[in-house]
Amino acid sequence: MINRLMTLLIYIAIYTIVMSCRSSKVEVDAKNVEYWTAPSVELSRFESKMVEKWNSSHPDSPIDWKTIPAGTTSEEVLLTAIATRTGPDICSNIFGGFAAQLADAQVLVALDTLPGFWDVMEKRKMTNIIRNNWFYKGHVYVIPVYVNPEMIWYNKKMLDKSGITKLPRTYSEFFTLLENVCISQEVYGLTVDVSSKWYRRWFDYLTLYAAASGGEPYLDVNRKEAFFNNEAGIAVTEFFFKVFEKGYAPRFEIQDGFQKELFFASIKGAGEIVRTKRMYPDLEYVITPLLVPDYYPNDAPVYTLAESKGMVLFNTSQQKGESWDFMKWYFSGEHDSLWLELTNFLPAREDLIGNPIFIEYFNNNPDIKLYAETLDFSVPLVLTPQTVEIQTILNRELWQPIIFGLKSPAIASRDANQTIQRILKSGP
Amino acid sequence: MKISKMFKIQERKIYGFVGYGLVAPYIIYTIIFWVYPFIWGLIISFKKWNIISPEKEFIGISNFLKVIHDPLFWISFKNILFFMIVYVPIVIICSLGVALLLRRIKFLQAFFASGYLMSYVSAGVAYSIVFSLLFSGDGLINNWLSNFGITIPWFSSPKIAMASIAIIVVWKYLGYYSLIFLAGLQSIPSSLYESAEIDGASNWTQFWRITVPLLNPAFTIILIFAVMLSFNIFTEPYMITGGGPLDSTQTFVMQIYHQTFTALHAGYGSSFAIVVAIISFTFVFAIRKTVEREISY
Repeated sequence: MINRLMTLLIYIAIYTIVMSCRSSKVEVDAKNVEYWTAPSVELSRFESKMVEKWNSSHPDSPIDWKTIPAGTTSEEVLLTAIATRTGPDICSNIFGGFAAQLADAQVLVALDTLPGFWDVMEKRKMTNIIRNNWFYKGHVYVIPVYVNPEMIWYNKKMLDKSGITKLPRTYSEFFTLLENVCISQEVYGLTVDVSSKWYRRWFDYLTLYAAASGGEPYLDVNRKEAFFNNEAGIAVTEFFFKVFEKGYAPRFEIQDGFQKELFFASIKGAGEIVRTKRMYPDLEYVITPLLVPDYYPNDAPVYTLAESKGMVLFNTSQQKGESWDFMKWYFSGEHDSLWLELTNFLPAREDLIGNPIFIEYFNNNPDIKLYAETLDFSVPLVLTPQTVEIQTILNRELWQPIIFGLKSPAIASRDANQTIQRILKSGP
Repeated sequence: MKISKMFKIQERKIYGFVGYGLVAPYIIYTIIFWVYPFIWGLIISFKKWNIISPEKEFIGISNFLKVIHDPLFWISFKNILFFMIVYVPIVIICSLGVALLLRRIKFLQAFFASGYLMSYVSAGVAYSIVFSLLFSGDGLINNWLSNFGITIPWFSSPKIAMASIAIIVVWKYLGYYSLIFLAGLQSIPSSLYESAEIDGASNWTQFWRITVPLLNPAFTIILIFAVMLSFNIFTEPYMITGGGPLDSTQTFVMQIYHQTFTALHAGYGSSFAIVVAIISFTFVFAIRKTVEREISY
């Protein structure tokens, strides 16, 4: 009796699982092209307009648009969706490293194999961007939508109060200024994220590395080499070590510390400008290129790191043709002035400065224009599926020990480099 | 066969159906959400798999060997033990204290008891955010403490970050454990206290000689809950410190989560989970062997 009942229960359980899988498959077959984007107010404003435009002009292949469901990170939510086959056809807000992971798992379409790919790139003036930075294992899996380079902001009131007229270019000049500006535990020198979240290193260590190395990459994925133990890597580590050692940055988080005028300087992306203006309208600041080590040539341009997010097409898509048509239309270049207007993020294209369609916007937004002018000297993140592992190690071996002064900069750089190189050699 | 006997057999059958019918939803739930994932987890722990790829390479016990040699496994273990040392005694003493107080309350006992339970039913993510704001470097608590010239790096000092998290978890589970203790206290017959009083036993003696020994079932279950929770701690460190500073709040479940869903090493994450489950069961087994006593009133 018990055995029969248990068998029945197991049948019910199996039937439930099978039926739920079947029903989701049916849904996938019947649906429109599904398009997911970043859960951001500014980006959503643009995307909703785009989807509205597309759907009114293409009633035969409508797009179902939604923001990536809430979660700790977009990547984790997407992974779950892909694994459970409930993911979209197209998704934006994908960073290069994640695209590489997805490409390795063979869930992405190699976009350069699709008809008209290079025409679209040419139309949007991004051929060189793609050729130089977005090839992974011989193909392009992600088209960058926007770039977000980093620059350094200084509090204008503090500059005026201290009578500073010449802004620092090198680390030494910066530390000399901090001696005058900082007040112990009241006014700090530089906002530095002390958290151990792997992606935060894009906005501090790796950004200053790009500047210190003259735009050289921090990894060579093909030769499985890391470059954190070179002159630039050690200089950047020494810089942050000194910042913490001298108390120019606290070892705890202060939310919007720069905006609350508790800090003299901060490394920030263009995306911060609009939010800062909205939430702290009285804050006055000056934006300049990043700091470089003292050895850096005076006449050389200052490079920066530009985080970038792009759009991918999943090969699980049942409507690849329609999806690609939408992507071609999206990247036709005609919508980038609207994009800038609504999102204030810089479109990933080579002609931002100089193209007449952007002149009015940049005249009205001179701070964002400063960022656009750095794009020629902005380097992208290295495309590797091991991004998370590498930056987790960077946190563990270099960043956290430096914050607490547990390792010398030379040893931290050496340890991080050795461990990352080992990880690169062992593969994903 | 006699008719009455046939009726009895029929009746037993009907009761059997009703019984199995009542437990069926739970059994189905267990099969779908526990048995199936457990078996699946066991299978993939011997494989190299990145969740999304259809390819799963069999690699034997390599994942398990990697877990044992992973420094983060030992760091997490050390952190969990530290968490346990802080959390378990505090939560047991405080919840027993609250239960003893609640027992003395004559009116609105249920109101106060459910009041303490509010923290237990609040969402982990929500209160983690509230606590991280309250205790942050420039949060309310430190702002107030700064009036006395003190600033405590609750979550930013590697030495005290885990203890701070333990205190938050004590806040969450205090009410729940108090209710278990209260139920235990209420099940102790009052005649025992009355006869002890007649014999001249002081309150202190009564507490140690009657209350504590007879609370053993409640104490054992709370100890097991607290130890298992220590092994499973995730939301609070994940939300508040992210495992830092200096990995001082890294936990087993955070590692399992990171390996599986961020680094996409699902096989390794599964083997990590299995090793942790074995350790956790060993602890529970040891507690039951050493602490649990049969009691009779």
